[in-house]
Amino acid sequence: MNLLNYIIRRLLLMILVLIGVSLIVFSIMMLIPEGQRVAIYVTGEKIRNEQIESLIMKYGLRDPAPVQYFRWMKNIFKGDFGHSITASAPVLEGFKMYFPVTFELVLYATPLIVIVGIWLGTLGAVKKDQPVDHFTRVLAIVGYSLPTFWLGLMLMMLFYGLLGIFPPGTISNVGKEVLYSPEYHQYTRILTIDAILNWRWDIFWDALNHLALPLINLVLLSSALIMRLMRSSMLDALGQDYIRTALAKGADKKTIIATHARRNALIPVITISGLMFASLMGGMVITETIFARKGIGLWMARAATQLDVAAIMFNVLFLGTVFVVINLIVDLIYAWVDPRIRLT
Amino acid sequence: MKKLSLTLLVLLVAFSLFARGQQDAEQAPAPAPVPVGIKNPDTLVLATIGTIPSLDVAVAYDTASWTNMRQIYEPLIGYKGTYTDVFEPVLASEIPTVANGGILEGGKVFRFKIRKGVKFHNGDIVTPEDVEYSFERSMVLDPDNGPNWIWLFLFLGEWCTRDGDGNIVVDYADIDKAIEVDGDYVVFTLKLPAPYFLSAIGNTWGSVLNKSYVIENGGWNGTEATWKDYNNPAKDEETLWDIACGTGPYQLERWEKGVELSVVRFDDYWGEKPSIRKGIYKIVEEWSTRKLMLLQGDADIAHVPSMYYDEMDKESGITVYKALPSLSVGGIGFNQAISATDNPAIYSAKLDGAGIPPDFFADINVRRGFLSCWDSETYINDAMGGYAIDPITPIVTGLPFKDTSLERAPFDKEAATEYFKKAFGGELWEKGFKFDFLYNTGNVGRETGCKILAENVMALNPKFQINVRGVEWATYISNLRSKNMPAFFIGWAPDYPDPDNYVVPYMHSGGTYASRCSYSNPHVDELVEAAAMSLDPAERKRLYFELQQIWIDDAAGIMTHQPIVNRYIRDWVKGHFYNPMQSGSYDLLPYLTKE
Repeated sequence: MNLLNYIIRRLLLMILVLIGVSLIVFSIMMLIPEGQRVAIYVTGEKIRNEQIESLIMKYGLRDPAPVQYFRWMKNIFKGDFGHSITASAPVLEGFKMYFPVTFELVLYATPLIVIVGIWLGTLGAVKKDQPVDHFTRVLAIVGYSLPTFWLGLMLMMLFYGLLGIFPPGTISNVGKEVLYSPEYHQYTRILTIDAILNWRWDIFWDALNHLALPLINLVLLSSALIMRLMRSSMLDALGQDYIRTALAKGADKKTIIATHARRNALIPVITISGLMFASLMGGMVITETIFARKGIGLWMARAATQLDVAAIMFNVLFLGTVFVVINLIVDLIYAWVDPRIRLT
Repeated sequence: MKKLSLTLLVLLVAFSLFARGQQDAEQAPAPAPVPVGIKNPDTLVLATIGTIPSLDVAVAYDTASWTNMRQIYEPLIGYKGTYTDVFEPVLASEIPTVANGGILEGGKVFRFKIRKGVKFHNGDIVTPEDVEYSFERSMVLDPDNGPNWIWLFLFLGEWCTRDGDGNIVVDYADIDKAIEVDGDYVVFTLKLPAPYFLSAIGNTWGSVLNKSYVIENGGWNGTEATWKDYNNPAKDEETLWDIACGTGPYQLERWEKGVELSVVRFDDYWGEKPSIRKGIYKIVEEWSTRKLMLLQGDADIAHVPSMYYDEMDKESGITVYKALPSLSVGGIGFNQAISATDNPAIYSAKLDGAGIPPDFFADINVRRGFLSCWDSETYINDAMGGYAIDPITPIVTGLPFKDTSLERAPFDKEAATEYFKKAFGGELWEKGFKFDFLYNTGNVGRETGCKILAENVMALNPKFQINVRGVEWATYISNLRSKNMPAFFIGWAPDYPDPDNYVVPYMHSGGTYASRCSYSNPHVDELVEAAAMSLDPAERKRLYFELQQIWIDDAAGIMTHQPIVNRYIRDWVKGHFYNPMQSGSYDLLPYLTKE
């Protein structure tokens, strides 16, 4: 089977996966009685009981679950994903609003996390039991065990509260005026990329200034896992006969580490990095909350607690797609890193 | 490796220095560690919680929407300064009185002369027809969750345009004739005289819309032929939910849903021009982030939960407006006819020590027993941090006709024991009881209140069991609706500052909370209705005093607290004043300055 067929088959399978996922999530949502699901439309305790009944009827919450599911599916085929109360907008519009904020963070965070993790992991393995190794191990343990909210708040207090730099949010008030000025075009809604496309370096730095703390927070926390994985994988690789033979024959150590050992040690790291990228795309509730970045995570958290079915279903489908696609990409990278692996 | 390490280090240091440099360049230099200076000198930033559900004045029924809409739209009259019972003309050119012929037929007809030359944000001139249309549209739309019942009740004597099945139950002709244009005047004809009409009209639901703008944007065209098509619009499908064209001192600049809403000064405003050019309502959920934004000057006003008042009092650079009495009131309702169908909250549903019967709270001795176990002092000091007044009755301090001579049943365990021994002919004391006492998760005040009451009751008799349980908002709403909750916390923020808006929900058999408690006293209903229509202050006083006495005698519920609020504002913001009908300090945007 050639590569193209393989990709097409995996993408077709994705449709089945998404239908399965949507059915499971919808079924779970339907287990909640309509009297609770109506709460999303109830804005306060003042509402009278007749009004609650009226809302249940209006939104068809009492219809049988299959009727509600097919109504939802039918609307999807018409391009209507429904209306999200938590986004105060149609679901797609809500997605367009929240996703770029999350994606921008993931876009910068993932490479940094992977680079830092691989670099320190390699360093720890090569300098095993030396002070550098001890340091990276402590760093990994600390990073892995620190609660996200605690580290986030500490970073905020230190950098923003004490030093007055790296403010929360996504851009300054002055920057926002530029974003919505007639001469500025928001091509992607990703602030830093749009800034480059508009050749506005002030906006680029403004956005980066707001991105710094959540980035540091994520890198410190998420690179710990990759660091540990890379270290043990590298130690494994460095212990292999072919590495010892090459070293014994006097081959350049740097070349052996970079070309032979690290390349082979990367396979598990690629898997984890792929999964991490996919889960980060689902949003980072705590990071986004603390740093006042309105992203997918914050939206999903609100939607879940308020039973915003339309938003939950769309985001589940989106995340399902992301996971399937990322897994496919990871498989392709496997084959590239290790040509012995064949895609079948 | 070394090169990479060095490069990363250099980059981090360079970026930090750059960020610092940028900051210094944008603002006045200030000493470390907390740089203080007026950031955004022409902009007022509010950091708060609470998303904005809608900008449609006929739909919005929440403080987040109101505080933003008050910048954009204007009513005919408004509350004057710090008063809740003194009005000033806004889009009306004078306050209607009996003397100036504005109030006729014993308070059933109100005539408002409309101010001339006022411009909407799109340049159109306000006409009496716009005023008529605005009020009629509110009744025509009548969405679920909306404030429209106020007009429907005043003009038509109905709570809603629909019955529980969604069938229309009002005639358009009644809506049409309730508000009529008469030259430069708009004439409002009420179903019955209502002394609180002027209080009710001064809010956002009394805002004046631009009729042609609404129609151009696909809204109701003002005719009978189409009115039913616009009745009860789906959520966020109302015409004006995210667009606006008012007459207010500010016009809508941009609304990023769930993120922020900004308004900019309207240069053609008819009244005094505001000093601040722009207002930003910014949603920041995390308290620590809001606090730092306020301290760093990125926010001028921040929402501060009462549990952080003491912490904030120690901060410098902040002006604190302390102990401002709100007009909200909270309480605990006793449900006298609990639903027995599939209701796990009452366990066995019998008086057998393993549950409670549905009419558990119908026995006045049970209610009095619970009342005697209410430790108001501990609740206000511990749960509310001292930031509340004991309201005793549903009518709050600060309103006319509050009977301040009344006292609540004292916290007295011996008295409580006596009441419980008398309840159900002594059977209750012998057998005991068990039920669930629910609160909505996240509401710490309610959780503490439930626990205080439950602990005090359970201490009387080991056979008394009350399980205090937190449930999510959805479950709480579901239980309220199904009348499953034996006892529950309730809260009320006023629609208009009149005792009527308190006794109706809490005491009238058709009121929101009284009906959920199955509290029904025909004499009370008569008194409430008579007080609502009386134009004689002495008579109203007599009626409201009697109602408050009945509240005490009937042990209808426990009024737990009337919150006192503090406001925290940067010290460079001047011009603050308090009116309890404000949604918050941001309402004051047109009056504030930064200096």
